Order: sequence, then structure tokens, then C-alpha cells
Amino acid sequence: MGLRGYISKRVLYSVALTFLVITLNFVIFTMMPGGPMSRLADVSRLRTEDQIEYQLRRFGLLDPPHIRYVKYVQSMLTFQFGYSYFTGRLIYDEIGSRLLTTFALVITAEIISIAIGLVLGILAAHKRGGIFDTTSSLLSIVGNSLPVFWVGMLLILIFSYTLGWFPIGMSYPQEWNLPGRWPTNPLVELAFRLQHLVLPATALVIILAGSYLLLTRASMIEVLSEDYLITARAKGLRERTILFKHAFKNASLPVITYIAIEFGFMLSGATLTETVFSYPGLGYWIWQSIDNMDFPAMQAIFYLIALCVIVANFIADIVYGSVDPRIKYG
Amino acid sequence: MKEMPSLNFLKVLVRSKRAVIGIAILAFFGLLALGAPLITPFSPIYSKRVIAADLAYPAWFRYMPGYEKTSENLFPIDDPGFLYGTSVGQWVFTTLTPGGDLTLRYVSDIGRPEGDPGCVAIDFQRDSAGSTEQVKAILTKEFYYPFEGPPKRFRGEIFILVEGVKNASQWGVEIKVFIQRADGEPKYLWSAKQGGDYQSEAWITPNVYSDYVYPPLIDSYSIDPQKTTFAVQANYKYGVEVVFKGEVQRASIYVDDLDLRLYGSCFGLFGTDNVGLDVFTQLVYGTRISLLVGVVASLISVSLGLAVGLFAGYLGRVVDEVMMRFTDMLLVIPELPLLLVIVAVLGPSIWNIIGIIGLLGWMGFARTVRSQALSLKERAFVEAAKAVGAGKVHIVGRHILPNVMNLVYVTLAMSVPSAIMAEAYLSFLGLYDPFVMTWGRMLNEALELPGGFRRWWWIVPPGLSIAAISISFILIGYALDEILNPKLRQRQ
Repeated sequence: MGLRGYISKRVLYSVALTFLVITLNFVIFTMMPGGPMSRLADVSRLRTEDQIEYQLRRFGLLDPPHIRYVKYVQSMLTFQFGYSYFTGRLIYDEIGSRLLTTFALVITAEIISIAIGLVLGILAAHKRGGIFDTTSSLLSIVGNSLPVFWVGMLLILIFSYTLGWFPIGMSYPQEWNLPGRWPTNPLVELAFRLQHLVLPATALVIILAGSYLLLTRASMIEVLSEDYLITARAKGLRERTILFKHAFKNASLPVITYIAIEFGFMLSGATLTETVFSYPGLGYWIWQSIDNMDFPAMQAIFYLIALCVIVANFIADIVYGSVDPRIKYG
Repeated sequence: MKEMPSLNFLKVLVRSKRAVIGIAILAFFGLLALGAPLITPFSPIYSKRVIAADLAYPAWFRYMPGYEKTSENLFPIDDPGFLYGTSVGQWVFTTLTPGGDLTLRYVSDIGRPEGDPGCVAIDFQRDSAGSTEQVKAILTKEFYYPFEGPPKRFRGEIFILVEGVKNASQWGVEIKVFIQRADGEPKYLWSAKQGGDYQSEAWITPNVYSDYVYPPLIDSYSIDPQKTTFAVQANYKYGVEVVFKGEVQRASIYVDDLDLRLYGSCFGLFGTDNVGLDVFTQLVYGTRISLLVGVVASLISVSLGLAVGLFAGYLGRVVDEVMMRFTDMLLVIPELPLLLVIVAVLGPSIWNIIGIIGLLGWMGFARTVRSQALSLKERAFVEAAKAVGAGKVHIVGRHILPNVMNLVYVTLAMSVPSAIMAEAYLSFLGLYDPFVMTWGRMLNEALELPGGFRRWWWIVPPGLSIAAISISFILIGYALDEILNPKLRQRQ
């Protein structure tokens, strides 16, 4: 099977996954104790039977399950998530800006984590067993075990409340919302947004960089014992060239897959980080929806996050398949 | 494979420095969890009994510069319920207007409802029928207030039963509770009048729901918000004043639970939260929940993973293909959002949370077990067992399972931290069981309180505990891995 066959197989797999996610979502919300109406009735203070029946009809909840399922799949595939219980606005409209805000955070943190993790991981593997190796490995394990929201709280306590270096939360100064206060210079806007990004991104990097470090280290150690590196040394190449060019090229493959797997974790971590920093992305919104028992919004967010992860995994598979000639398609 | 010689095994484990650190940390938390009721007498979740003032600083802050003007809890009255006759001795009984015969009597068999038996009675009998002067009796206790700062909150309590003023006119008896600085005027906190049709047949007490002129509840929140009552270090008197009007000939007033509680602005090892609960107690009881969630959830997910892995690996073919595809798919779905949605829908009871975390964590281990089972299946001893005629169940149970048990131990240790972390995440986002206190919930409550972040003594301990308990399991897991899977040892 060639590359094309491989890709089409991955596409099929991703589509199946998407359906699994949609079905899961459907099943979870059908499992709700007391049915979907019990919570909606709580939220909008519906009392009389008439009103409840009207609402049931309006949301199509009187249909038999299989018809509801088909309608549900249709609406998910076309991104018609309906209205939020809480704000009453279209969920689709609410999501757009939040998705970008979350991506700004996640991608910044991911890039920094990867950079730190790769460089330190290579150095740790190079001087295996040394002080740098042991301390960095230990710190990575510790960093991995810290609750990300707690790190965020400490960062706010130290750098916002005590030192006053960074703003406490949100993604831009709140006075910009007043009429006429939005900065006209995009560079100024960017600078302020970056300033708001520093602490949440740092919290994520503290938790994540360690896992990249450990992975790079492990995979470098495997590669460093191989014959072709002895050849490279025998040729008299500089150590740096050997490490970063020859060894790392081969050690980078597991790291690439890991980036995709981490992407899901990253989005989860973002949920907690955004909550701590009141950073108005998807994660913060999921927290607000839990607080308000806004089930359609929760469903939509879960679906979108899962979709992002599926896409990331798909891309990783393709990259992996085309980078490593040893991989048999199939 | 024989059963593991456990003592030997421990010896080997103890040889690893990392394992020793891990076991030490775990033992510390284990003791906290087991001995929670012994370590701390308070309740970790809200109950009617007030332990301390809200948002108190830790007690040791009193010795730090800048916090000299803080106070600790002070309960000046011993045995306020008069359980023992000897505790009447601390009260000073004075009669200010000698117009009748007033005596203080200890009663051992009467007490306020839902309280211990025992109270004191003030008996009054008029000397001569002609006298119509008011007669006053005062019962006080004097105590020294040793702190430079006022208490954050104080609360008085009294229960009274009046007898014998039924035939007097309205308000035959007046009862007042007061606080008085040694050199000052009495400050009345609460008063009640009884007599005639207004004489209550039951015990009366200051309470939130009554509408007296005086503050209905003897609480500094309502009577002394400026905290001026205990402004200086001095001697104070707390007591009750009883006035018998002229027409009263003979009466008895029973007094029970005459108490004053001063809640300081400092309390306990880590202070208190926004409803006055001891943070240290919450931390101690949180250990129980974390360990429970971690161990039970990882037992569920490891046994599920084991079952699926063995099944798929040994049966192979279609079963394997279907099961592993499904496992792969579940692996891709981001765990936390899924967890959030399911728990939010099903409701956050602690067993729901444990079950859901357990049911969502088996996929990785199932893959590992499957690959092990695949390779074990081809080994000679399995072939031999097959040749002898052993059934599938026998081979899986007797030959393959014992060989993956090493993996089971390691994975059990390694998956506890992620279960603990998952629970902490849920609690932190507000999906916690209202009847249990967890570390994540402590942090959630700090987050939701404006300015709660600044109280580092409140937010550092729970986060540190989550991290420490996770690290202890990871260290033990690594050590187990090195011992049980020796191939890794050379690699390191």
C-alpha cells in the first residue's frame, strides 16, 4: 500500500473516531438522570406541564431516540450547536473568538515546552548520569506531578499580587471594553495581549516541558548507542553536530507523535489554566458552563476539543508516515 | 511462578533510595488518613458548631512581625452547661437591692433540651408582702483578655427557664446578658422580659429568628461590628442580670449554657477558610479522599485493562482487532473534558467520581497487557500446557496472568497519581461531592473567594500535598519497575 492508501486509511479512521465522539456525547446526555428536561426546567424555572411539553417539542425531545440521534449527528457535523441555556446566544457565535484565544495560549506554551524539552533532553542524554541529568530528570518528574491550576495560583500570587509584574487575569486590559479605549496601534494591542499571556503560558510550560525532556532524553539514549554515531565520532565531527544533527534526527520521531498526543492533554490543561487566570478561552467557557449547568455548551466544547485532538493525531500520523521511511504504510 | 516472598521483596525495595523516599511520604499521608479523627477534633465540612472565625490567620502568625495585634480563640467559661456542681464556684453571685431573699442553687437534674443535665437556679422570695421594690441579682464571671487585638468575632449564649411569674403582671422579670470591662459600664447584649401571659413554659434563648428590640443573637456580627468591646487587654466580666419587679412574690429562674466564646483572628496550623473551618482539618481529611480515589480508581482501571488486554491478546483475531481499535479510539479522546462532561451530567457524588475515573483509565494498560500476552502466547510453557490439554481459561489464569503480574504492580502504583490528579481537577472546577472535603475543593474555594489567592497558607498546603502524594507513588512505581522488570535496569 502506498502513501495514498495509508492516508485514506487514516482519514477513515479519523471519521470513525469523530462518529464515536458524537455518539458518546449523545449517549452521555441521554443518560442524564431525570432526562434532559429536568435540568432545563431547573435552569429556566419552568413549572407547568404545558411549558415543559412546549419546550420538549421545541428542542425535539419528543421524537424517538433514533431520529434524535440522526438529527444530532447532522447538527454536530454542520456545527449547529443550538443556543446556550445560559446566555441564550448561538453557541456557534460564542465559540469563534474563544477558540482563537485558546489556540494562542496552547500553541505558545506548546512551542516553548518543546523547545525547552528538546534542548535540555538532548543535553541530559549527552551527559547521562551527571548532575545536570539527575536534577533535570527529577525536576521533570516533579513538574509533571504538580497540579497545573495550583501552579497558576502560585504564579498569580507571586508575580501578580506580590511583585505586580503581570496582570492578574483575562487576555487584555478590561478597560479596553469601554467605548473609545481600544488601542488603535495593533502593536500596542499585541504587547498587552502578550503580557497577559505570560503567566498562563508559564504555568503550562512548567507542567509540560518535563515530559518532553524525559521523552527526548530516553529516545536520545537509545539512539546514542548506535553504530552510525560511533562512525560520526570517528570521522572527527564536532560533538554538537553529532548530537543535534545526527542523533536528534532519529530520536525526534517518538517526540513528533508525542506532540500530537500531548495536544489533547494541552487542551485539558488549558481548561484548568484558563479557569485560574479567567483567560477567556474554550477552557474557561467550559468551566462557566459547568457552573451554570449549560449542557448544550458543554457538549459543543467537548466535541470541539475532541475534534481538535483527532485532527492533531491525523496530522501527526501523516507527518510520521512521510518522515520515517521505515514505517510500513498499513 | 510462586507467590512473591513479600519480606524479601520489601528488602529489595528498601535498597532503592527513591523507593524509600516514596514510601516515607506515603506512610506520612497514610498516617494522616488513618488517624484523622485523632489528629484533629474538628469537622472538615460545614456543621452548626462554630470552630473559629472565618478567614483567620494561622496561629503562628502571632509571633511574626506585623501581626502582633491578632488574637486567638478564648473560651473563658469552664463547663458552661453546669454539668458539675463545682463549676458554679467560678461565678460570682451578688444581690444589688436587698429587698428579698435571693439564693443561688445548683440543680443537677434539669437542663436545657438537647443539652446535658445540670443548671443553676436563682430563687427569689420576697421578705414582706408589703414591699414592692425592684430586686436585682447579678451572676458574673470575671476573666482576663490577654490579646492586643480584638477577637475577630465573639458569641454569647444563654438558656433560661422562668417559673412562678405567671400571676404577675406583664414583664414581671427582666433578664439581661452583658459584658463589662473592669473599669467601665456594662454593655447589654441581649434582654428578655417574662411574666403573666408572656411567661414562656419552655426554655428561651437568644436566636436568629426572634424579633426582640435588643439584638436577637448575641453575636459580634450584629452587636459589635467595630470590634470595640474587647479593645484592650483588661479584666472583663460576662454575666446575666435578673430584675424582679415589685409584684413578684416568689420566682425561680433557671440558667443553663451561660457561655461566651471569643473567636480570635488567628487559628490552627493553617488558619481557617471563608466559613470558619479549620484548613488543617480539611487537609487531613482530604488525604482520606485522595488516597481512596487514587487506590480504588486505579484498581478499577488496572483490572479492566488487565481483563481487556488478556482477552484481546490471548483470543486474538477478530476479538483482538475490534477491542484494540476501540481502545485506540478511546485513547485519543481527551480525558479531562470527557470526565468533566460525564461527571457534570451524572452528578458529582464521590462514588460516581471514583467510578468514572476508574472506567476511563484502562486503555493504556490494556495495550501493554495485550502485547505481553501476545508474546507470552508463543512461549514454550504455553505450548506445553496446550499439549497437555489445558483449556483457554486455565492457560490465561495460570500461565499468562502470573507473568503479567509484575506489570500490574507497577501500573497500579503509576496510575494512582493520575487518578488523584483527575479528582483534584474535577473538584477544582467545582464538581465535588458537597459532603466530602478534598484538596481540589479547598483550592476551588480559595479560587472563588475574592482575594483568596493571597492567603498562601491556605492554597500552598493542599497543592503541595497533591504533588507530594503523586510523587511518592511515582517514585515507588519507578523502583518497582526497576526491581520487577530488570531488563530496564541496565538501560537507566
